[in-house]
Amino acid sequence: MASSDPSDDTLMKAYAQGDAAAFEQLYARHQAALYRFVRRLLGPSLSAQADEAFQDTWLRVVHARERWEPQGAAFRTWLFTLAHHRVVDLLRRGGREISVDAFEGDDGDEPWQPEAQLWQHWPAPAGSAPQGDELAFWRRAGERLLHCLEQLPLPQKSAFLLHHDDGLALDEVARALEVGFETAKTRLRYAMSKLRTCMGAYLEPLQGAAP
Amino acid sequence: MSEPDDDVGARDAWLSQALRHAPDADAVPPTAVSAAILAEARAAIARPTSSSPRGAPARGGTFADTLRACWDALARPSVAAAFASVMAATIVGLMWWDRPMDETQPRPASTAAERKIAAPPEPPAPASLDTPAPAAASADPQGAATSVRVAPAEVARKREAPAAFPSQETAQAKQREAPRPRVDEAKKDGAPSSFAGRGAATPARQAQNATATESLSAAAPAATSVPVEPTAPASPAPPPVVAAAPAARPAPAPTSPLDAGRAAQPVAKSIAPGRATVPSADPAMRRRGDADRRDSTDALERDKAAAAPEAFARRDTPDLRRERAVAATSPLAPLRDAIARDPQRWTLQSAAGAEIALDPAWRDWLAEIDAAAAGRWQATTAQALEDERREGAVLRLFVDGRAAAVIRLDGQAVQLDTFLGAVPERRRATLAPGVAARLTAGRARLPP
Repeated sequence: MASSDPSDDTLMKAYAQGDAAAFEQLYARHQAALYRFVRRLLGPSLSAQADEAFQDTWLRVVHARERWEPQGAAFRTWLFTLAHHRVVDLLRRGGREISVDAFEGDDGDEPWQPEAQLWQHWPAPAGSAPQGDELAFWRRAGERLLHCLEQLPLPQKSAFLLHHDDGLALDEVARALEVGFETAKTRLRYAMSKLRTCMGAYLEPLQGAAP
Repeated sequence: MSEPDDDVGARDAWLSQALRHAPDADAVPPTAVSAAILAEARAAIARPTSSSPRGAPARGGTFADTLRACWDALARPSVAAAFASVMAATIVGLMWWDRPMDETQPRPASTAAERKIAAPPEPPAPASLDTPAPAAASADPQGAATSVRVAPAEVARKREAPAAFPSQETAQAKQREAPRPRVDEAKKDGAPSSFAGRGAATPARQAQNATATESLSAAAPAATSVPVEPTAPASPAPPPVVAAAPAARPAPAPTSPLDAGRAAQPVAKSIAPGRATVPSADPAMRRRGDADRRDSTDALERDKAAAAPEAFARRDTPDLRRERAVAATSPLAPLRDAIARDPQRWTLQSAAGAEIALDPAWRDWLAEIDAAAAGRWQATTAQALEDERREGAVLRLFVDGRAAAVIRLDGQAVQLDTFLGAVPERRRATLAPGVAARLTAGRARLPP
């Protein structure tokens, strides 16, 4: 986003005052990340409802445009909060039991730490776009990561996606999930630990294929 | 970053890289969804009040806004559920609008009359009851001696058809077999209890009744020399209640001079066969009559319970329901419909063997039979068929030269045999004497 572009708050205010183009700009700016977030939260089993959750989120934005005030939270944080609520509603409507316990499924107080050696042979995550075998490696890693994400409880999955995929800071994650900072931090730590374990166990046979 | 970052606040470069290369990393919302969202966003700013809370009409808004607000309020789940409940209750109420909610509820007059029609015949009282109740007439000598004024027209009407009634002994013999409604039903219908009914339970009582009748005949021959038909109405076409309650069946002889007063009572409240009513204008006599009525009712109930307790259980058996269904359906109606659809195919053969085309006059006559026998049809037996063949007019209906039905008509009943279905059916309807005579006369006028 170029510095000359208006901020999300400015666009939202403009839309509240009747500027439809401002909303289109907002939508173009956040639609992909939000759609991806909703799809990954719902998982493959409920991917058919991703469109509904995505549309409902934006319609809530539309209907709440006059009540929205940039008080503390950025528009993006608020947008993902709305999406998270909608996903939780859908999961509950589908009969899923949504636990607010960040440590659901964990036996101990501290997450299990994976063997660091497993990661030594991973290709370095380059800043530029990988090519060739490295690209194939990361694509397979991405597939595996989505599978590992399915095994995470929703609070941990939300914290990880907001933090790693959508780029929210920890305090923004805590605000988006409407939990305390430490809670968000704990959820994120558990999520990362589980994902590392899951990914390391899976990618070990691929060490030879890594560059 | 070559290792996973243990700092939770920092992002794991490997996981982030894997996320960026996940299969759904490039997923975008469907075009239709995006179009719908953007369209709704544009439409929302076109209606300024759309962002107001749902259900709250905007101040100073247009009528359309108010209407929209009302619609939003009605579309709320709680309101919709209330509407659905009201609609369900309304539908259920309409479904049961004209039906009794319980069999124990009092039914309309027509239903009560139908029930009286289909009341099963009571078995004759056992002759072993050797302690009869006091005779009806003798139980109330004052009532028996009370003068009864029978309208001359009524007497004349009853004298018109004496031939249709058998002798008094036959009438009493049939009276013992005649269906008699329960006492509680008679009381429920408002029919006064019968003094004679007390004596009808046993032959001894009937003998006493006969004795009383004879004595009364001597005192008032004009009123008692003619058998009184309890349920005969003034109109020539009797109501259906006469059909099942044996109208053409010989009526019991009047056991009290006051029986003549029953003629003025409605048919629905007329007494059942075997009972006579003694409405009295004298309060003292009415009180005494009420006491006697209660006693007689109790005695009769006891007798019935001791003699034939199963009679109570037979009141609504499948046989009775089948009889009601038979009486309600006219076997002539489908026959007449078939004739009306294609009259050229139909011929009629009289008892003399003449082939007659079913012209409209014959069809009208069949319609008269159908109307006269409406609600009176009953299943009959082969023996009854033979009995009536000897004395009645026999008409055979043919369709395409094939026998379709046989109609027999005598002075008391009409009998119909149909061969249209897979199984031949025989039905019989007892007719009032006047009606049977009229139908016979109408038959005589038809050619040839």
